[in-house]
Amino acid sequence: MSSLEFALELIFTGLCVGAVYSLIAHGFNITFWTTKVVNFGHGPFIMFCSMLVLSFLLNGLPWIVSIPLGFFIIILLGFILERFSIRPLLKYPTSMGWIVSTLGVGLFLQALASKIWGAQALAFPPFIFKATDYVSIFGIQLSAQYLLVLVMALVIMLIMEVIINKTIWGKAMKAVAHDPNFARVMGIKSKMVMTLSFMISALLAGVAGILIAPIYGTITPEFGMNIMVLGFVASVLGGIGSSKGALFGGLMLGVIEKLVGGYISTSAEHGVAFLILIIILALKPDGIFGVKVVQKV
Amino acid sequence: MLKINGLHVNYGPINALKGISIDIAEGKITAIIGANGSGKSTMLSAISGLIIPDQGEIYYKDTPIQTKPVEERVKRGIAHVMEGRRLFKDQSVHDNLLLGFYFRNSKENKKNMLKQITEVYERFPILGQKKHQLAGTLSGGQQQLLIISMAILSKPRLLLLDEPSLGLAPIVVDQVYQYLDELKAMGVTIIVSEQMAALAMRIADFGYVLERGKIVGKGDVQYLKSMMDSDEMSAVYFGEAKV
Repeated sequence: MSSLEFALELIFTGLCVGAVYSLIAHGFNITFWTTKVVNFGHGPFIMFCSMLVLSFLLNGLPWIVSIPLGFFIIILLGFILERFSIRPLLKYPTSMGWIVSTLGVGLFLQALASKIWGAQALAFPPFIFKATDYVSIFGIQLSAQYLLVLVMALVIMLIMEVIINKTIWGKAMKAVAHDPNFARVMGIKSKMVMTLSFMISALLAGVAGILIAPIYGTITPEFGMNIMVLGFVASVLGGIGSSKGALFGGLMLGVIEKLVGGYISTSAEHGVAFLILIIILALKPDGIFGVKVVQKV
Repeated sequence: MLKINGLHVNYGPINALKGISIDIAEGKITAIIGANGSGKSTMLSAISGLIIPDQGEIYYKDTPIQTKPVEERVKRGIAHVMEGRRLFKDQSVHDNLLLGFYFRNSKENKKNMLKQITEVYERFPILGQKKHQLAGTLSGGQQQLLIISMAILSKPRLLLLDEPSLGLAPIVVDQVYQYLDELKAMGVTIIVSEQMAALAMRIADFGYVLERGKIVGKGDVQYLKSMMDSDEMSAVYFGEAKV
């Protein structure tokens, strides 16, 4: 393999993994928009959904049933999370209780997963494609599974963008984020929009889990928390609250990680990625696409 | 149209409204006059449902509404233009008007949504010219026109305006008040709160004077004008009313 092919392959792999980080960052954004809450339970949601789907598969259910069932349960958990651990705290805007409550729900789910499925790593079967399926583009062998992840993550983000910017419900979501009380006097059911945002975010967590689990090959109760940290980094790197930021932050992080892994050492992947993150944030504290509200004064 | 009996609102240990009773006639403009902190905004928020009162009743068209959520009151025809030029500043002028319309109108009415928004652009051409601009970048006067247009798009029967003249140039204030007069002619009942009593008196049919959460004067415009000229009224503004 030539050095160019090697570099391109690393970049491609980085883009695929980065697309999943973007999807996670998107999930963070949606709840951040409506409630200004960063849901630290997002990672365990990613894990829990893939564990559920795996468990349905192992019980003989086909993919076509297992995935929607997993999504349904995770959406329900998103609803419960908002109702019982976020909404009561929103009455006190200065309270930082959401950090504890979202993290608490996450840790609870992690413990629950350990209890149900055990703490050991479980093999997650490849989805649609086999691990050995390759597609050849410009002479580079690309894993079909990776390509699927990239395409699906990009398509989902595109759909989300269209919903948020082009539909009245998306505009309502942004309205609630900007001023929930004013949104209420405009007839928008602010509380319902907030709940909905947690349900959509949970669904995105579920999708991210299903996409990334076959790439990792195995899943453990901790896997969601680890990957969530990277999604959070992507979100901060791109500028929390920004859709473009979530996309580019994720892709950038993925590529940096894989290049470091390929040229330096795989054990340095995360360390160097974080170092670069710190440097970028020192130069651009709001993130690359940090949202700044334009306001005439 | 609207009747309030013995309304009390407390913010923790602070009594913002101390047993207010008012009666608003249909199709009229009622002014609520009072200094900063007199309870005007609290009263309007209690009517629109943003604040649930601790005590007292609010009857709208003879139905008690004091425990109904905001969205329910919006459906019944109550529109609230809040203090401080509240807008969705990070969205375009057009999107603000869409949001002002969509969630407060029936399915039947939504068919004519764009036509009704176009009417707003015809009424205020400046909003039409700037329809793709972010609302936060408009001037103060243009923002106020947009806010009132958003309120009107819901076809309200009762319009609550909280200090609509605050921070606006006199020429814009004239424009806003002229528009309120037009709305009155269309049969909309209006309650407008103002610190600047003289302004409100220009269009109001009736008025209440509020001081530290209590009503200290009420009457028609002539009565309020005479009150304004007296020491009593100026005392209200300095917080030393002896009523």
